[in-house]
Amino acid sequence: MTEAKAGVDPKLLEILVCPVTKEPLEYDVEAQELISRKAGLAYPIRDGIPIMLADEARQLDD
Amino acid sequence: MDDDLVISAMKHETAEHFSRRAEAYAASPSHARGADLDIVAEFAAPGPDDICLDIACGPGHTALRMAETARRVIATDLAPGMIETARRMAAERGLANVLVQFAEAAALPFADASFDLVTCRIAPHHFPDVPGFVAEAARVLKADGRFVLEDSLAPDDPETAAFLEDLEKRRDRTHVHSLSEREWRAAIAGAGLRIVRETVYAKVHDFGSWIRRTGLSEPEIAVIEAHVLAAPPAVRDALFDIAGGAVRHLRDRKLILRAER
Repeated sequence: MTEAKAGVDPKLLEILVCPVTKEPLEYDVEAQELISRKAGLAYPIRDGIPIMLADEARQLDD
Repeated sequence: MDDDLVISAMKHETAEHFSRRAEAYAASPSHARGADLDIVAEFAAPGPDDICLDIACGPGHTALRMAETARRVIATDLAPGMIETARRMAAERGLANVLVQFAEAAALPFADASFDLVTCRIAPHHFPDVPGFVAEAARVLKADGRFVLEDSLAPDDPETAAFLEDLEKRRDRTHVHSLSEREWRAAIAGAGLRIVRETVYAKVHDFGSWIRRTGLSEPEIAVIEAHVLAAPPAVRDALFDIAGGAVRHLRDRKLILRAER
């Protein structure tokens, strides 16, 4: 689907927060990830759908 | 195993189970066209400016109904199969205002006061943390927002309630707990919401299709049917229609309510 390239819907991005800390997220367009610095987690976006589950998130190294 | 691990394993199993059963739920008349969906729509009354959230959307019956009149609906679930089905069904109906999203009911990834309407239909009996879910629903609601809920209601009689809960678990390993009216009142009040409308909807399920929707084998179904036929008379009369030595219908009740801050 085209969403994979287009990324997350901007309307959705406006209200998305980290499900753990409820803090705003950084959108890494290149990596297709939503980053929560405070939680140290990167939430993947697959096929335009953000997977906002802590279990499925990548742990940030730093 | 600690509680978090148990919950995590259960959520995973629930997500996998519902991914496999997505098409069965998408095609289920009682989920797609039940009169209870009309009541939910009436209680929710989504208007042209409303931003809505549908939690545990399943194949999207409720989200799509809201999207017919709302400005935008975000539909969340844990099961990839359900998310895919909801997205496909929205596209088939030309509803471009439906956005799908993976999220957990008790850990919603949305800012405070994001929604005019939050709906959740016939799903909380699968949730490991119902008070957490209601608290999250309340958090993401705008000050004048409304929360519309429908779920299976535990019967008032304890013996009947215990039998039905056991039957639900035999049929569906992802069934956690159907709350009683009292438990729902406590959960809603605990989240700082008050019930402004409510109704109890009696649902009659064709037992054959109900018992087959979760993917059990025929021998497993035969064992469950024998178990039902051997139920204490009071329980049998309260829950089932039995004719010719076969279980014809299951009667259960759904609580439908609208709560506000």
